[in-house]
Amino acid sequence: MDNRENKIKKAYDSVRISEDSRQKVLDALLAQERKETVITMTQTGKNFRKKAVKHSASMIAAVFAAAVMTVTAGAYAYSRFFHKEGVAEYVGKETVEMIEEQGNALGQVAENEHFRMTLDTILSNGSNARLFMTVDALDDEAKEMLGKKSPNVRLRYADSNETLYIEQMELIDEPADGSFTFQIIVFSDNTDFSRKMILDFIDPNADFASLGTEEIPEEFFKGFEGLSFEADLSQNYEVAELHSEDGRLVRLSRAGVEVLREGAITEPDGEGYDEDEAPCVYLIRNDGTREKAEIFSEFVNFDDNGHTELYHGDIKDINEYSGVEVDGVLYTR
Amino acid sequence: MTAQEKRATEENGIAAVYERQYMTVYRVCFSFLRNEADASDMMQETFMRYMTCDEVPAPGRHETAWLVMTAGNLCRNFLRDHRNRISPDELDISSLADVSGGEDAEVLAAVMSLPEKYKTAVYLYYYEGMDTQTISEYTGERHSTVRSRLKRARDILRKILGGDPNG
Repeated sequence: MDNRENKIKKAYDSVRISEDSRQKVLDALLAQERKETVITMTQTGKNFRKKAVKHSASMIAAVFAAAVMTVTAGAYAYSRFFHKEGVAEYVGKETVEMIEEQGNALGQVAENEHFRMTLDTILSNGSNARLFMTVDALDDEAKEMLGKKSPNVRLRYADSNETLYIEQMELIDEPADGSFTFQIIVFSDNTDFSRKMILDFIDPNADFASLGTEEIPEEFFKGFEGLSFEADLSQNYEVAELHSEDGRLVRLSRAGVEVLREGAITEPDGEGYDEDEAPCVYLIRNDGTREKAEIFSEFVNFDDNGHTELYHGDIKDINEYSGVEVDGVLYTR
Repeated sequence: MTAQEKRATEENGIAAVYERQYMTVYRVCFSFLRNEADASDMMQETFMRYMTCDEVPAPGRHETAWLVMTAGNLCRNFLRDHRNRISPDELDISSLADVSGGEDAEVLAAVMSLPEKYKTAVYLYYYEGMDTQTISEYTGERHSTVRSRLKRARDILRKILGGDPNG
């Protein structure tokens, strides 16, 4: 257990309740227990039986299967964010404003009778992309379904239908009232971001992970018909490539600092990668002054190349910077 | 065994459950509500829910996770209904001194200032020592959600508590 964990644990330990409050609550609970016992005895005498009305997962699936799926709409576009706050949770308010100013708030919507999917925006630097989407349940069955699982997403090349590996799907909010914004991160050395791609949605109960890149059975799309997007993941913001003296590379962009590292990184069990071990990053301004990069989000690609991605929320203009320092190594233009 | 029969056993009787879990529930409620009166009320409500739940969680980690999640949900509802009375502003550390005896007030204030949705995961992870997979299994939340929330919470705590991540 590290220092921080100890401190947090100790801080929780320091919370105290007065003996008076503790006893009052216990007394109230015991009184309630006695009351419940009396009621139960009375109800048992009358052969009373409480019925719980619950929809099982299989029942929901049956409702979905039996429903006639009418695709009511294709994709249409808006010019501003529908889910500005949802996207801001991931990238920060300043970046959301910037995306709107640059006209990259896509607001592409596709819906059927159960779900509305919005492709809020795509941020791509040409070697990785972040897609922000919001799903809204339009009926009770869909709402209940989303309450249990999020829809699976399949990304494929439009021209070949080859399925792509999605690095991570990140959710901050569990669905509240059947609606939530999520982030899909795509970064892989093997992905060709210049090719058009298609996003499809698949039954959350389908075991998509075990399918790999094989063809997905039709029944997995039930309930999600018509919810496909054509997505352009090609680079849509400026990137500067900076090099160290020994030829190593980082990419600097509005979305952050991307550090490329050699050698495999092993993901530890349990919690996963510990971002406390992330490199210390300084941005070097054109006048030579240094400022510590404020990293608010980070993703690590656990592949053979050991590819680390760091995001920074405050780079307003990359041209204000001449270099980056990562763990004491200077990278310049 | 029905839920009522389970609750009738000594191990699951409300007095026994309360004795082993009241501090857990109280800490969680306090981290949301920041005062003893409201935290006690929500603690009581949490145990009331336990007394009427359809599926009694097994004593141990499942029971802890169930109570923490229930307490968190009740506190969120309470805060929604009492926005005018309870300020979402940052906690005044000096007001915590009485509660924590002056120790660790800064860390506690930082934890309490976290967004509501991060608090239960932070408690289960840091205090109860559960890994994210276990939290996910017991709470029914997606593993990716639990991981994301912990990650975001750590980022916020690091910002509030200073640059040294271990400090």
